[in-house]
Amino acid sequence: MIEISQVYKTYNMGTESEFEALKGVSFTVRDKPVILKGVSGSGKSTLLSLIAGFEKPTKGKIIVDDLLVSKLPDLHLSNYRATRVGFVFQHFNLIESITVLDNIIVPLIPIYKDIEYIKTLAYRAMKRVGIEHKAHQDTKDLSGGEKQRCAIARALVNDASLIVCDEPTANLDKKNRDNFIDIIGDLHSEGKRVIIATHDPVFENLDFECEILNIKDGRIEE
Amino acid sequence: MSSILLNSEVIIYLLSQSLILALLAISFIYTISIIRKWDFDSFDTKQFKLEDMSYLVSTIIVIALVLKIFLLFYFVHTIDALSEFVAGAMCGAGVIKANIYGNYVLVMGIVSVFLSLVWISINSLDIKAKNYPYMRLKSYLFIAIFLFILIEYILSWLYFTNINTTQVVSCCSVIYGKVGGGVPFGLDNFKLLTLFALFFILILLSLWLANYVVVFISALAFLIVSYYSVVYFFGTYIYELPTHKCPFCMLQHYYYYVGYLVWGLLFGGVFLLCDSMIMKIFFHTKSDKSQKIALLMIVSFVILSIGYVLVYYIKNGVLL
Repeated sequence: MIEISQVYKTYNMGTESEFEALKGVSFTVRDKPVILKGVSGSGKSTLLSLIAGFEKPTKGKIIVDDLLVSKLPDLHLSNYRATRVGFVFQHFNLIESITVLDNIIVPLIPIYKDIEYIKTLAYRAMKRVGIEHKAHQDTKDLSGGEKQRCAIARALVNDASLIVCDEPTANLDKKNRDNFIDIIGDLHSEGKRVIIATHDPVFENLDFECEILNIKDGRIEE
Repeated sequence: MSSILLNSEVIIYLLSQSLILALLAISFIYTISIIRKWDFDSFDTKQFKLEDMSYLVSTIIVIALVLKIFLLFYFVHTIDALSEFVAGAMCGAGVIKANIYGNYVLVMGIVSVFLSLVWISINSLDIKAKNYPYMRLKSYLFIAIFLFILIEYILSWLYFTNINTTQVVSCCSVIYGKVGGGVPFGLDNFKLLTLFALFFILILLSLWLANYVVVFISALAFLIVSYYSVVYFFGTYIYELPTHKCPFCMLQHYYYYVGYLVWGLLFGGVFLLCDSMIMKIFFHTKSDKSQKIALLMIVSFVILSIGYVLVYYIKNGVLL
């Protein structure tokens, strides 16, 4: 279960450019995938980064399973990100100068020591999204859809229980969007929790049940 | 103003001490606000800020305390270097007794190293936990350590500003020789070495039996007995002279600075062992890592001390 309770996030607090991105967001997620909808600047990405442990809220409570994420000290927050969260970024955030395999291996380096085991996990994740044939190709040479599959493989490689996606289909054509939705459906059926921030209408008619939350001006709309 | 203050070692020491104190003073101010406002169950902005701040403050304190530990070695080096300028002093022994503050500064410096180790260990436990369980405890302990270091800082200024380079001080042969009273507590070398061996065996035995209170007490007793054993027995083999009894001369280049190793292993090993025992007794820690390092240091100290005696015997066929 994910419990978000009265979460606020203010950037540049106490300065002239102070900006309140989230204004008391509360909701609870049980097992359905969550689609966070809202226009640019509504606070979707901020909320995702708080749930994924990239940032801490200004105030409020975020609980992911048994973990009080909003209160975790840095050491534990790093461990949480490394072992329990898979994140798919809008612009993929891949390291362009290295191969697909190396990109996927990166998140595992702080966790495991055995490089052969790491490679086994990486190939398993690549196979899952159909990118294993590109393993030794430089990432900069991939197409948009392939880059996205590479980013998904990287998010899955640590067998995270929570998959967080920020505008995952913004740079994709229809075919790759449909592929992505199929992968999300598979992850959901495996029991993984998925949270997607998007304003892509393709997520309005999915084959599986999901919870749609609208976010506007840093607040969840009823 | 004392001319000693123009000495480069003294300037470096006092500046470093001031810098460390400044870092600790900043941390002290924030620690007070942490103690006053800390409420882990709260989810408001103030508490989130305190949690972020506490991590930064703890990091600053760790850095300052580690620097303080190294500064003790530099203090010892400084007083040894001053022996060239203080009339009658042959080594740090004379310089440290140049006025009433010297011994207090040295002893407080040694005690602050031990307190720093304990604080660093508690902090390490605190940051490894998910809910800052020792935040208040380590904050109160830090306040005590800060006040202790502040007093040591004031005393170190009083010490260096009151060294009179024209007034003749006693040299180590007077301080630690027959005139100075020799081995304390009415002991002779045989009794001293018997106690040295007994407490060393007691440390090993009580560690084996996992009786941590006994380890702690026997380690402290071993430290005291070892200090006198080095000064009155083992040291004479380092100097290869039965009448040369001094804890400071072995820090000089004539003896390859072996004193830093001898005292570093002894004090470092015993303090680390005591710290490890405090963690086991009061915080029920499972890790034996620091205990093993401490034991390695103490055993190395014993081997080094006995080694000098053995090497002398092998070379000369007699004991001093």
